Amino acid sequence: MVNITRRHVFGSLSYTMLFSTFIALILTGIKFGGGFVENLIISQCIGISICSLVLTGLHLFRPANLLFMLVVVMVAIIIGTVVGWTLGSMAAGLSVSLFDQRFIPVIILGVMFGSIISYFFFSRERISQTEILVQEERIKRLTSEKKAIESNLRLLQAQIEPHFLFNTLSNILSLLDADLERGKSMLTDFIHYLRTALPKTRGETTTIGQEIEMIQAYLNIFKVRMGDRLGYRLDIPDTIKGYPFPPMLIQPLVENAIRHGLEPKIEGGELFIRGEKKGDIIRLEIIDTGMGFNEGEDIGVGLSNVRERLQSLYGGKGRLILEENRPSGLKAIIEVPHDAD
Amino acid sequence: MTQTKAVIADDENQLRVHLKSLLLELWPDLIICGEAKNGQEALELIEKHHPDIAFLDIRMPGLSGMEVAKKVTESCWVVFITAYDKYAVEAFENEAIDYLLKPITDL
Repeated sequence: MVNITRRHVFGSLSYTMLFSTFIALILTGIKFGGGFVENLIISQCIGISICSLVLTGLHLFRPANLLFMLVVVMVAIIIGTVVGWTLGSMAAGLSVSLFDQRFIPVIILGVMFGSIISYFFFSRERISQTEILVQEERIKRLTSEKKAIESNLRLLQAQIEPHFLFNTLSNILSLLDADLERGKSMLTDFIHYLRTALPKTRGETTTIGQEIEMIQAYLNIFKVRMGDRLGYRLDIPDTIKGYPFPPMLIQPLVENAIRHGLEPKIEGGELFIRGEKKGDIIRLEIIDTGMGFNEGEDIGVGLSNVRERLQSLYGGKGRLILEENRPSGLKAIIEVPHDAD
Repeated sequence: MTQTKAVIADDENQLRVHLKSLLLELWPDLIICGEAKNGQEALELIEKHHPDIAFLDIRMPGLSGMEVAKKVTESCWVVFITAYDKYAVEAFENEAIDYLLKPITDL
């Protein structure tokens, strides 16, 4: 379907006037008609009439298929030629009559040139529409590539928090003297965590099970560090452990729950991670009984990165929901479509 | 001459043990008169024992080490313990005499 815009109208009229001048020159060259001025006036009138009628016809009938469009264009060309010739002849001071001997040749010339010019316009339009489509497709592709790169970059920039790093190392160092076995086990958990958390040692894809293993290592480390102040439970059904899952989406939520929820709370608290598949949706909940939403405190870069990554990976189908947990703490919920991978 | 008294504050038990053993190794006469596992406890111990030195972890639940240092009315030297020296300038603004970087390897 052709949509007539102001650009079409001005563009087509300008080209038509140019063509009409050219046609007037040719006709004068082959000694047709009564000289260049007369030919120019009639030619312009016919050209502008055809052009206006074709545009009006397309605008009014909005032909949906090619055949209908051809009919509209042909009828507009014939009527345009008759009207234009009549007006042009009057403007050139000539008498107008349907029995004029020039009537038939003028109609033939009008239809011939009209068809050629219309064909020129339509092929130009088709090319430019194809170009627009290609361009739009390109912009769409580049935008989505840019988003993917940005989200990967953020993932790469997600660094290991210095407090976590040095406090963990401090604990390991002190355990080497005090309790070698616990020191070794903490170091093993730390290595396990680093393998997934460090971008260069992380695999491209991961599963829910692998992510949960890494989080378990992370929580084991905190269990040593926080002692009785931290309790945690995991409830991830075996059936969903094999599902592919983007790396480092759950971890920032666990880190947030510890860092802003449980660590700052004098008596500490509990962390509960559970997962389930509901229809086509995988739902993971990270629930803590910590400080909850803190006014004015920025709970954020990690969480907004998770939100942006969900958006870039799943569009509107993946989401992060933050809720207040009763009686205290925060509940973070991630929902992603299962078939998206 | 009276012996020097110190309070240690860190929310992580293992780190208190570690610091204590390093301090006593270096300074056998030092008396660790109190160990606190959060900021509020540290403040109470300092007010109660009037130590000469307080070793305060900066990130602690309740009150941070910085807040403890600001609230202390006793005259006592403060040494902050931190995972990285981003806080050093602020520490000295709070009249810290020194700071220790974790992991504390040697004193």
